[in-house]
Amino acid sequence: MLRYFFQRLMWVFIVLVAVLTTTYVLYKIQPSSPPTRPAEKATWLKSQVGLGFMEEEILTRGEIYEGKFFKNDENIFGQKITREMQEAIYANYKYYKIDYTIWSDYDSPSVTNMNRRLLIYREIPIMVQYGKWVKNVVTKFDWGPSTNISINEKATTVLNRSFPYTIGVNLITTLIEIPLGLFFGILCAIKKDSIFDNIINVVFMVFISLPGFVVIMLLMKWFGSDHLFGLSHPLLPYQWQSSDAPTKQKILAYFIPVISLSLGGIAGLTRSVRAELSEGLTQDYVLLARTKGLSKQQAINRHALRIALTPLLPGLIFSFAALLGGAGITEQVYGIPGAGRVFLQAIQGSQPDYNVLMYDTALFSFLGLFLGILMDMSYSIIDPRIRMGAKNE
Amino acid sequence: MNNEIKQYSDELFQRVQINEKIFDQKFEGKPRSFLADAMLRFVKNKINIVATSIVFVMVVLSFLVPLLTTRDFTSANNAKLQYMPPRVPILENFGILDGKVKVNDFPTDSNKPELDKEGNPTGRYYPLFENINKYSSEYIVPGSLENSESIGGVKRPEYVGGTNYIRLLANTDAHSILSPETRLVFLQRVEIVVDSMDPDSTLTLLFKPKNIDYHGLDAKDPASFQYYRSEFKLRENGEESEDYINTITSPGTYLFRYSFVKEAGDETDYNDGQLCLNFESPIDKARIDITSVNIMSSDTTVVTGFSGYELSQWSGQSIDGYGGDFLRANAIFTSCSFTYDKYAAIFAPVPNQNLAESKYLEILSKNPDMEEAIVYNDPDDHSKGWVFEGEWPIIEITGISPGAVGPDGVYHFSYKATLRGTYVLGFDIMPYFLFGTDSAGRDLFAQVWLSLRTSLLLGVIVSVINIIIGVIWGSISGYYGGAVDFSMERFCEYLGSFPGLTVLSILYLKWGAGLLLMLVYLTYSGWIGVAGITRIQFYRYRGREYVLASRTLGAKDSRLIFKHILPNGIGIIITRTILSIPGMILTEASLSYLNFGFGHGTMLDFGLFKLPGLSLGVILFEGQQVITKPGVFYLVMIPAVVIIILMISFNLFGNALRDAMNPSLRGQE
Repeated sequence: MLRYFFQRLMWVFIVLVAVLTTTYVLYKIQPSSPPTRPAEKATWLKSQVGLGFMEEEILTRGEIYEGKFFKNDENIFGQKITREMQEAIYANYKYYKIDYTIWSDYDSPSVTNMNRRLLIYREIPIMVQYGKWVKNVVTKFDWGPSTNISINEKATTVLNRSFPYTIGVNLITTLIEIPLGLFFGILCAIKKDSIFDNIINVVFMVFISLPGFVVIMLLMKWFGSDHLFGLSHPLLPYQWQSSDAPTKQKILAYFIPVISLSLGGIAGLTRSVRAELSEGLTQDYVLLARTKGLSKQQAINRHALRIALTPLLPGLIFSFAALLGGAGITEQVYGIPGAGRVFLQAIQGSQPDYNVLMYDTALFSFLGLFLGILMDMSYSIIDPRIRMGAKNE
Repeated sequence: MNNEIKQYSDELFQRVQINEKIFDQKFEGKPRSFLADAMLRFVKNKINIVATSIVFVMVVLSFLVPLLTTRDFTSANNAKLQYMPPRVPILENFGILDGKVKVNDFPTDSNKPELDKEGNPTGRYYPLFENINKYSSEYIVPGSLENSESIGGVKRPEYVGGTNYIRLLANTDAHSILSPETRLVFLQRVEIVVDSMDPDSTLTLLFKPKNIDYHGLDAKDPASFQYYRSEFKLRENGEESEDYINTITSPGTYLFRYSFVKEAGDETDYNDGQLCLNFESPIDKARIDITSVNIMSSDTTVVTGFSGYELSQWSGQSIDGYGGDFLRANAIFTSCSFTYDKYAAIFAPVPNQNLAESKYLEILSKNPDMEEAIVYNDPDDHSKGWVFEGEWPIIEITGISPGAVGPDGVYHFSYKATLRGTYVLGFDIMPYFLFGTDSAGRDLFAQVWLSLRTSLLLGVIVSVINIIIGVIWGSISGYYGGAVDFSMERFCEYLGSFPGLTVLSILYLKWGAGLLLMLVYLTYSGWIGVAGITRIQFYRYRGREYVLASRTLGAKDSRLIFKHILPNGIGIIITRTILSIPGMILTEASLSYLNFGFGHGTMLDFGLFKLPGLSLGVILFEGQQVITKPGVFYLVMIPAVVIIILMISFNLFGNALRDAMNPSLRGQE
């Protein structure tokens, strides 16, 4: 069992490395997107050197004066390194057909004229960069700086900040889904084909068909903007509340996203519990239990329900994984600063934020794969008849 | 051993059935083909029939409507028609979807009272005419106007009356407020009405001249008040105080006269400037409520009055050690709710239009009976204009503008005309926008079906691609098994492990939003499911005896795959694919909602032909931007309802198809 688990885990890491490498290459062949403002770009270039993705060459004014880069520069001693000079040096480098980023501390007021330098940055080959990147990630868990969402902050910080919101909303959603789904599912199975069952079936059919973002829009309109029942203010906040809002408002802000996310989940859970349990109720062992003298209640609780709930745990793990990945649109619509929204921001901002995207990719694919193992393992944990990794004999 | 064979002669045998011909017996029932059987199971459930018909109607509409929309209702060339609410023939007679908008909580205009038939005011007020929401009182449905009042303290002109109060901060003893720049002439009066004030506190009236000279003091220094004019004389009961008094210590109405004395040689103008009220109190958070401050001429007619909103616009002065709030209270906000006839308003007659003679004659020639409908205002003098009786493009000619001889030597002139609104906007009769129009005047009905066509087309194309790739992949994987199967399975797992958003980001950075992104996004891992089903079918059937028999007879791999094994799985593959279409439509709408898909004016380039495309997601996104405005909720509701109906009926249809295609359910209820 444990052996099987570790085998699977090994495989997860192989897939993860493959996925990340592919993504890395596919991002690297897109045009790069450094910060545009001078001060931010300078910091970014420095951090690139620190992470080992670029080489830095520093030219002091003296070196430039010595004619290292100019054939006939007469009078630059004591002058600033001007834009024109940068251009000239750039052209000089271009001559050797190597792509360089030239940067000077021209714009920095703290540097005195005499100490001005020219900084020349050169990207090292992508394969070497990849090695450095793997090393940074494995040894320091450093995924590089963010270049758009929160410039020059670590990508890990930017994304980790958003997890409390995503996990909070999704956990509450799951916690609401389970009892309600179980309740309706069991009730429907016991009273199969009654009026109650039919009504629930129709209503939940609608729930399953409802697109999440339509539900949240309608909820926002009716509960977040309209003055229902003649109230002087809307029942719930129209937008996610920032951290300095009153606690009551912050709690109320959970209602709309949680409801919109859980409707489909409740309906799905109800359906699967109903199907499993109604099948279980007709089995011989339930009949046997009844013949032995158990009441209907006992027979259901002790025999039918246990078997019926077997596929439930894996299903819940799966739905939680799906929620984590699919809540992006809800977060975007309602303005929740969660992981999905950060992901979308990183893609659709004024320029892509590759490092955040990479970290996001790693996390989400790991979560997906790992929860996949847990799902498979949970079958054998709760159902002893299934033995994972056993050889067919 | 007796090896003798016993001989029996023929005569010993009696032939039976010699005169009968033997045939296979016929089945008592009729044989049923698989499809007929499936059909039988399919039609048994009435809900399925309804769902299927809805899906069918939607598919037909989505192809017919974009083809039959002769006028281009999907481009933004009708800006005047923005936000027309839905209007449906027949239904409009019952008061629903009749093109009227219900507006709630709209500010009123106190200058526009509603009048009844005799011309007496009814006590209700019409809504404010704004640049954004142009609600004209003419098109408010009679009897629908209702006013309601609420009390508030918002510093906006819609809030009428009330008092304004100065409240000191907890740790300060004074606060000073300034009026906007105004003019206070010598001997004019200033009337201050104080509603209430805390005891022991004083309100000081000062006048701050425009070109004040602080003699080197900082304007923030409290000592600078000495250079404000403070020479006021209090008037009570027609009597004027001897001394200069400019303070108030208890609530009431006070009248001051501005009577400063200029020193000789002082050229400064002390008439232009700002009124200053200085509130001082030793109490923490002391408060004074001021109803009004009026500047009056000597015969007590108000020259400049500050009360309510105007008074609230006075600004606090920053003086060292001073501090407080100037707030508004008890102001009354009258809001109205009404039903607005948007169609009548938009298609209202357009008066005072210059109509060139040639154009006029053209209209007349297009409508032959129009000339007979002319009724002259003055039969003797045609220059006084005429009216066309009936429904014509021109309602009335009010006059003739003087013209000039043009370069062609002909005298050109134009009429002053009142034109019918429908004609000006390019319609023959008042149109029915069944689903209303959006912010750019595009018809929502045309847009919705265009979007649906895009979604369905995409769903079908993606399904076909998924089936082709999946079937080939699954067949190879399942048929050969072993190492081939293992590596192919692992590849699928690898492909499926990419988070959706990562794939989206790569595609978006590479190609931007549009058809290519959508196609690749929906197919990159969409076929894995089909491949899985196919593979399992192969695992199930490849070892069967009939396959072995065929192989023994020398059948090639391709024949075994396509002739013997694959047909077993075709039913389930097709059903699964149809069941996946609603999911795809939903994904497409969600992505378009997030701006990754088809916006307005997108052309779907299929290489051979181009089609305009749009997405329900985009319509919903635009609707959501204005969802809080009055009367435009249909922009969200209609696409939402369409998408919900489509999802439900497609799901029901798919489930029914799955049950029908499952032969093991034969004979079950």
